[in-house]
Amino acid sequence: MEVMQGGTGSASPAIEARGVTVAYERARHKDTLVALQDFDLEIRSGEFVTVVGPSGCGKSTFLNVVAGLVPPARGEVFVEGKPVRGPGPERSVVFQDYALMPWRTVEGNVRFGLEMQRRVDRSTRERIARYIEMVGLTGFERAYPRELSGGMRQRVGLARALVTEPRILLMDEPLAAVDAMTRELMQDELSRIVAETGQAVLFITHSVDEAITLADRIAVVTNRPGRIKEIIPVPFQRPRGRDVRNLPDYIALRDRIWSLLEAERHTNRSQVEAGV
Amino acid sequence: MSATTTREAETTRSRPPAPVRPRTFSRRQKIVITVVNLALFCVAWELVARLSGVPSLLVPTFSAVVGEFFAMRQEGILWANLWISLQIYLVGMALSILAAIPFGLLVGGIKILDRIVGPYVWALYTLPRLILMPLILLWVGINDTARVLLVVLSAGPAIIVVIMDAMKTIEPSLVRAARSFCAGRRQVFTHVALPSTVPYIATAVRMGVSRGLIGLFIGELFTAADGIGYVMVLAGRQFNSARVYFILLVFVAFSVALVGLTQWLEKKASIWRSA
Repeated sequence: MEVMQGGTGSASPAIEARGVTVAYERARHKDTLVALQDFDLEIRSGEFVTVVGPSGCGKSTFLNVVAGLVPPARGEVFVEGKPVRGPGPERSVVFQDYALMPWRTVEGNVRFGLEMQRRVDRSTRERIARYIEMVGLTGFERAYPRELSGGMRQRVGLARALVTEPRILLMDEPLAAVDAMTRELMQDELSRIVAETGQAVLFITHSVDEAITLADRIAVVTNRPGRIKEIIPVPFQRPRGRDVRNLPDYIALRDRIWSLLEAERHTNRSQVEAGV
Repeated sequence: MSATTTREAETTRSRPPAPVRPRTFSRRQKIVITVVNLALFCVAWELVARLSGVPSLLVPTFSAVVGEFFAMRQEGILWANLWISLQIYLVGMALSILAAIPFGLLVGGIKILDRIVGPYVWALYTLPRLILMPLILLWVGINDTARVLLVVLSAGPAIIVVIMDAMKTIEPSLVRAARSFCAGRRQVFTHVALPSTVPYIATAVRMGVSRGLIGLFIGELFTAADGIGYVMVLAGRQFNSARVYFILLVFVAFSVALVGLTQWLEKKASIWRSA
């Protein structure tokens, strides 16, 4: 049911990361920071995978590698079987800080990706309207980002990502800057929208509840340098409402992820921060 | 002091609470304040000049200064010279803006160019333009070109400097977003860098406008045989202080008008910015 844009038809997974290692040079500290080390992850087409981990564990870095914005030092990421050499139209990114163009209206921002990919044609206007409606912003087409709340801005970010009709959605803590109540509501909506559009989703978060509410599988990441600690399947049907949170299975799952993360908190950071 | 405060406190308690209103003046209030302010200034000037006993060579009366408007018109030296100065200024500013904006965008946008060319621009920007006078006289002689060149050398670097800086304030997250949608270098420039510098371009023009005016005046002081600045120098040599003051007022009025215009443009250009 999820896989509606199955047009790719290939057996290769949407995203396949093999041994991805990323290191940043820190000029100020005169050292190299290993953000990710030998990171492996596979996301099937139409699958929703959330990545949780302690802050600074490199989970956002991983998303940037998949997006083609950061080149890995070692290892490789394959998107639909092809190695990533840069951004591509089959992927769209939703950013934590929204990254909307402040001089563009809602409509103009949603249009942005299509313009960059030179895909503006006669159907564009209608298509933009459709996605603006999907994220619930009809009536705000002419508003500027500064006139919108955080939640509404991220709706624009989501519409901008969806309008190019990507097969893979990369979401970098998209709801982290949104207030708590809006966040819950937007999780539900996101569930519904993605179930409708059928993308494979890589979703970075530091909220355990958000991870369980949204995902087919949850990847728990270790402290820096980030590595997969465990991958946990979520046994509930998707899209799912918040009511699953009362189920005993949910509570058990939540406890398990928490204890995994808690164990990470107590690992010795100095040992982890050793150079390359 | 304390008595009035308690009385005020009592009256506020008995009345319904006044809504919090931001302290801003309405458009009409602003106009009234400006007019009254200017009128008071003129009256004060007239009174001080008449009653203080300061020689009129130092402070002529305001009425004498205004009288120069008619005197100069009668002599036929008002409009012609104003027109010449205005032409030189406009040509100089047009050249400055046309050359400095692309130059600033280019130098500010390309790191290596900024490293190499930046210091020269800053040097020219901080250099007093008066120092360039002898050089300019050597290069082009005493003519209109010299004056235009002075305007350009005054306004140009100021515009470039602001735009160079603006190119460094571009939000990296916006560039990243554009890149994530497969934008190339060119698209990042036209769709992210350029729009985010538009408000700064307006600021740059505003900076250039006032500095260009200084350049114009210096030019007319040293290299001209006509123009309103030249008339001012002549009047000074003839101890016609009322005329000197009158031309000074013309300069002030002109620059205030220009800065007002460019401020308005700046506001229009940055309408999407948060207040």
